[in-house]
Amino acid sequence: MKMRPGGELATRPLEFIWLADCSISMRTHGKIEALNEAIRKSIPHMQEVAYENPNAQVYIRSIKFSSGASWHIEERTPVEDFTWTDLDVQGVTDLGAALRILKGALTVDQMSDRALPPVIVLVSDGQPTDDYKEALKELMEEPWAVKAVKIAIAIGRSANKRILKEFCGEQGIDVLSADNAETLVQYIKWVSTVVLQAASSPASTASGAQTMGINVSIPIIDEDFEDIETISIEDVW
Amino acid sequence: MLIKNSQWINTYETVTGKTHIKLDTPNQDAILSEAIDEECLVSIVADGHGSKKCTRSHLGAEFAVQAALETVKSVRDDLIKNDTLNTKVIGKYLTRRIVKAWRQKVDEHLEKESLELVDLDLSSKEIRSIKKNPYVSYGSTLLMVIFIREFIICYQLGDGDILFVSKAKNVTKPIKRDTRHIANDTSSLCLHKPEKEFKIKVFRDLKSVLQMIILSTDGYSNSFSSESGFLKVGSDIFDMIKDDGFEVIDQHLKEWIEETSNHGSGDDTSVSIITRLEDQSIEEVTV
Repeated sequence: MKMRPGGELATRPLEFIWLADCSISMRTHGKIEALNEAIRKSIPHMQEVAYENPNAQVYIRSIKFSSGASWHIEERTPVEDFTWTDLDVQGVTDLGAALRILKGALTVDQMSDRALPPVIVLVSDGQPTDDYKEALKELMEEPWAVKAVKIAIAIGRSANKRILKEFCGEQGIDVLSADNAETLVQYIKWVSTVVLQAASSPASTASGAQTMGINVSIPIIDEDFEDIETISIEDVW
Repeated sequence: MLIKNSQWINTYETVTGKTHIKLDTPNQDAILSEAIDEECLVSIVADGHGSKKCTRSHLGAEFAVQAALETVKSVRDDLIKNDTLNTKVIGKYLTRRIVKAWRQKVDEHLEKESLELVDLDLSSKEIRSIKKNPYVSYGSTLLMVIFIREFIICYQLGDGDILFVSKAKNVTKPIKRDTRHIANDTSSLCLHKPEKEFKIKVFRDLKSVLQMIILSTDGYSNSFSSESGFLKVGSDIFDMIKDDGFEVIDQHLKEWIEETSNHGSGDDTSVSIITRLEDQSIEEVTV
């Protein structure tokens, strides 16, 4: 057989970025431990989904925010090599600082033209303490941020769901409320598998000048999902 | 599939991507070429969107290539006027007629087989959008090149690529990539007034410069790690034709695009290669 024409082949990259709240309030009721555990548990499931989608190369990164924000895992790590380093808590909830770092990662220069829609998962238990509005506005000036699948998980009852919904967008997915460790594990598993799977699809979406928004059709969470809450009242955040 | 007239020779193939084989869904691409006469050849590719909302986009792509070919045939005699291109015909007049013909085919199909939205795993918002615009279920892109006498007319609606390969083996894109098309976004026949979204480029008297044109759906370019790797397709095929003749391309094209899709995007992939007939004995031009 004649040699195939063209250069090196590659699967399409898919960026998966965690945005994790590490403010001091995440220490109460073991929320940060629950988040660390949930993300760690999700890794084999993500690897399984990635294995079943050999035409998408999933890369994972993580941003942490408290008093300021920084990369927790800066290197774009292939999912098969990904390990989770525990987050620690301190300070306040500077969500805006995290969104500015995210913006830098989603610029047209940073992203490949052939990338699949990125998946961004924001996990928070509180109220932003900086100017998140301006940072969110600046973030949404990036075309890849507009097209990203944006998921927000509110941990506990003190989380400001209205602000988290602003991150997801009016047309976006509703904020997920995790009031206990088990629910958090389930939601993290859902975004790491079902959402990741949906974002890995090469299906196109008709979108001229008329439409703006995400291109990924996210399946609805199973109806029996809520039935997992068989825990005692003192475990509720 | 070999097509030729007095000026051009063309081969084309399409393969179903691994993703659709796994999900047991049909190839969402359609591809068609025809030598209408000795002076006019048309090559068309279309890519159905394939998302959950677009359950009939494989048919939409098929309708798109048929509608485009039928439209070009119907205006064939009007394309040239006073020995030059009739600009009144090649622009919106033609694209409007393609859109009209495509919608007619969709309407006829919908009449025969109405959409049963309740059977689909769609959100209420998605169902509302399909009810408002049923063409969404058939959404497709469209790329077409008309070769008529000394003219080459390129049309592009949505993603996909047209490559020009010069006699000096330079590979370029006559229609630049639409920067709005990221993260699987694309313009489409199913949108409102799609005729306005067509990119059209016309070329004349390229005989001494242009050797070959390649049309492909985005499953092909998305399979290469870099743009230069994708453009290399043009120069590699140029060399192969020079060394072994066009029949080699015709024999191996399907295997090549299958391998490319399998190790790349996993998407349905369609490629049409059109080269000047005398290129079976290509002579390389020194730049």
